[in-house]
Amino acid sequence: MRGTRAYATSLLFVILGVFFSCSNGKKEFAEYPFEKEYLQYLIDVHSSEPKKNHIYYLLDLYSCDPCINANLGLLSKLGSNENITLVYINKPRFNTWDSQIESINDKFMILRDSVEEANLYELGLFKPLLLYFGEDGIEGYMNISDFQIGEAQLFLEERVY
Amino acid sequence: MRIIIFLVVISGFVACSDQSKNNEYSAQIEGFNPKSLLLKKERRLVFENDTIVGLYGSVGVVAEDDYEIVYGVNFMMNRIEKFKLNGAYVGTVSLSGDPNLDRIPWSEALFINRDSILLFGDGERFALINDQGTFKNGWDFSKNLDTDANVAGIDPINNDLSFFLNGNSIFVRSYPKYNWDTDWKYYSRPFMIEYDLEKNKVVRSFGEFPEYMVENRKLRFVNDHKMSWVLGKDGDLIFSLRRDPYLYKMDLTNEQVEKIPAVSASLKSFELVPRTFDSQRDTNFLISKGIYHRILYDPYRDLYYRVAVHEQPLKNEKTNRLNSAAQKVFSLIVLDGSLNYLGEVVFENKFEYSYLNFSICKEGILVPIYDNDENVVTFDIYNVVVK
Repeated sequence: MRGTRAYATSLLFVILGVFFSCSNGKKEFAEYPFEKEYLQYLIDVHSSEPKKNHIYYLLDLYSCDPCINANLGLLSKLGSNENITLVYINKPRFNTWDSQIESINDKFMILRDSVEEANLYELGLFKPLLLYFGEDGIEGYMNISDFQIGEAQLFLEERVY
Repeated sequence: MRIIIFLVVISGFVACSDQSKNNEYSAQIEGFNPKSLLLKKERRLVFENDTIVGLYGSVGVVAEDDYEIVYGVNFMMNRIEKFKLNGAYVGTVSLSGDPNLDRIPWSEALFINRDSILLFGDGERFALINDQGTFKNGWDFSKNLDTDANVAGIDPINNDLSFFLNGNSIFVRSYPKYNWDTDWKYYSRPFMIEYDLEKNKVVRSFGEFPEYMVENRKLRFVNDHKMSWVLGKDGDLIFSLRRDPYLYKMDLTNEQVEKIPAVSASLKSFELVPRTFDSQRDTNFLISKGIYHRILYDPYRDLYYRVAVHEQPLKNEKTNRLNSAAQKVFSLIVLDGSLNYLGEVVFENKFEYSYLNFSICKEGILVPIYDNDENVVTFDIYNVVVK
């Protein structure tokens, strides 16, 4: 009986070992995987060094209308904060958002990438992107889907408000 | 018991290694005897005017009795520029003045004649205009589409024309309620609807993706959900899938499909990826990997051209920045009017042309040239010659 238990335990470890050796290959990044590229983008395109305890909010103004609406809505609600830099990529296709953007610009630091040079870098920029720079580089990031505006607000408030 | 442990280890090893072995989709077809084809440049057209902007997302040609008009659409600026092919710049039409057209992100245009240009954009909107930019009719599918498990909506999905007209109907790419990146079930549902313009309703949803897109439940090819299509000269729909060495010819009345070999020598196999969403991975694939893209019919020479876009390095060697997915070496697979394979010709200079927006005119294949000068638009005209 003791021998059988030992074998069963061995078998369990073998199965677990095989499971982890398979699943390790599928591990997803918990950290922002493009930090080096983003730093290079800041230097090349914006002649800028990253600031500590600071959030970069990358927003493509030529992306889908509902995404732009939702993100500008969030930015309009937030209070002024010099620890947030908005990085506008592209120009808006329509003038619908002009006045809203103007009032938002008064509240945050602004960088502009009007000819979408961000697309020359691997930044993982499919949706609007939040990057939080702590003391030692990027310590948190978030791709903001249309359904995560509330989470994005929390992300911002927990770090710089 | 030792044998059981051994078998478990072996089976685990095989289960792991199988994933890496099967992540390629072969695109080989044997038994071709291609003819020797030559790409002949006929001439270059240069249009200059202070008001020209260029940067066209779509180019179309409309033939009149004794001349042809070229339309170039700049979707970013919502404007259409017009040229007489054997003349000069004609003028620009803005889509921003009419409330039926303004503030709608148009992304596709079908040029039927001077009186009928059909626009399709995000928000499930169609608009019919003339070439003066006058709005004539519109359809908002977000309001008149009954959704079900098969059809959750319509969209300019194809990165090429996602619709066509036939008889009294608009045929347009639809999508089911599933996610094309993560759910294989997306590919088990119809990919298009027919909307009858007289009855003002959807009369059917149909079109099946090939079985290989459903069989592998874990892996997909980036852009499996996109396709290009053209109405053939007999009224059949010819469609081209991004990793498929075959074209598909569909009889639109009975939905029967026939496979037509149309393989490129440059596209040997296609790497598959897990059915997960990873935007940068997928973008990198689109930049670096080869795919099949557009299919065009040339009524003047009775030929079909299928575009094969070749591989390229992910990054520019000199700048270390990402290359463009829109500017790649591409070739035309040429088929005769009966869809018999003739051969393949290559457009080598990727920095001059894009595979996305050339068109057909009486003289040949009209190819716009990338040009950073805002006030100049240049086209080259090519023909394929059998040596």
